[in-house]
Amino acid sequence: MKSFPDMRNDELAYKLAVPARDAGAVRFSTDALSMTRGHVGIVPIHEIQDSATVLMSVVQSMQICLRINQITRGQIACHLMLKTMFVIDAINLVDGIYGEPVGASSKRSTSFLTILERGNFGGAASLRQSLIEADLPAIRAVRMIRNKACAHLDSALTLRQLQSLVLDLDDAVILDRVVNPTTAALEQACAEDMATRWLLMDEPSLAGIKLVASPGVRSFDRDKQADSGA
Amino acid sequence: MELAVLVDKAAYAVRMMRLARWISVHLTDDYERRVVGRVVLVFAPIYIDSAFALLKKKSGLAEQDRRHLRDGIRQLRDDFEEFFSRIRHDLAAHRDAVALDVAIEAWNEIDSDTLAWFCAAVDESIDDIIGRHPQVPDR
Repeated sequence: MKSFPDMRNDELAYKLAVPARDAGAVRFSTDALSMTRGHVGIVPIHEIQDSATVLMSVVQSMQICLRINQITRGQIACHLMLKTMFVIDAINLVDGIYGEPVGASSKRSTSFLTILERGNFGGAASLRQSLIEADLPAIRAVRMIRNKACAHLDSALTLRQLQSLVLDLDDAVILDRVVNPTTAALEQACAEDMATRWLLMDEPSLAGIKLVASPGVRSFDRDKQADSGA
Repeated sequence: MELAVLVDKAAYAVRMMRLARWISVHLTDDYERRVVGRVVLVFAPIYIDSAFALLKKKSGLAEQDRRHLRDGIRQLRDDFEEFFSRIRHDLAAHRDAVALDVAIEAWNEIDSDTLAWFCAAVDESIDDIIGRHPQVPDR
């Protein structure tokens, strides 16, 4: 069976292999998987940290998705794959922040909003207000696409219909009406309490510290053990 | 839904898995490679569901072939359930708060060997399915 034509593009393979501009520096990161990146992070000891660091990790993964989407611009299959991933993460983000009021399953972890309100954290009121103002029809539309064409493939639709659902989803809907306002609300809520403000640190570089190996993390290629040094 | 449509969906899942693996092989940052590599694990169960759906179709397939193909998919499903459903549920298709050690261990499991193994398994499976359906042209 043939693969997508994108995979025969040597120039694309070459461009993908160029490291991100800021690669190599040791940074302090606030996402749940920061230590697996050779960055300095925290071990969460409160549910607010557990929840927030996972959200920061989702935001991080979306930024990586956008970076690679830039590199692979014009390659339709890559775009489809990355947009699929982005749609899934967008719903992970809104569900993690708001939970059931935006349609998340009750089986998911406790939402960030619930944790803020339960603990009377400073950002609770502004995050609650952002839920009142949230664009529920847009969130529903993105969730429908996630469920029918991204995390599952709807059995009643043809492949072409499924691909169109993903490709025709406008940036104006997923970015302007869902991801950007949700991320802004998360940042605003975090900024309003000392217990959460640190989460907004923008990966400051720890000058003078050199990465030798990422402790506890195996190399992606198993034969290159502990060789992720900068 | 016609057989060809069902085969298209299974083939799409395999192509997405291959592409995610291809991109993650070429990237240089292990963290980025894992972020993209997750997509292999998102599409593996989609492939399994699509493959089961197409085997349910009355397609002139000999009963013996049908049983052989179904057993193959079941095996794949069992392997998947055993090792990777946790990663898919906690780190890819959903993001729940899991204990840090569990998250790091699961994240470690997304590596070049895992992705290669999964892609090889679905490649073999889809070739077998297409090969035993003479009315389905190679695609």
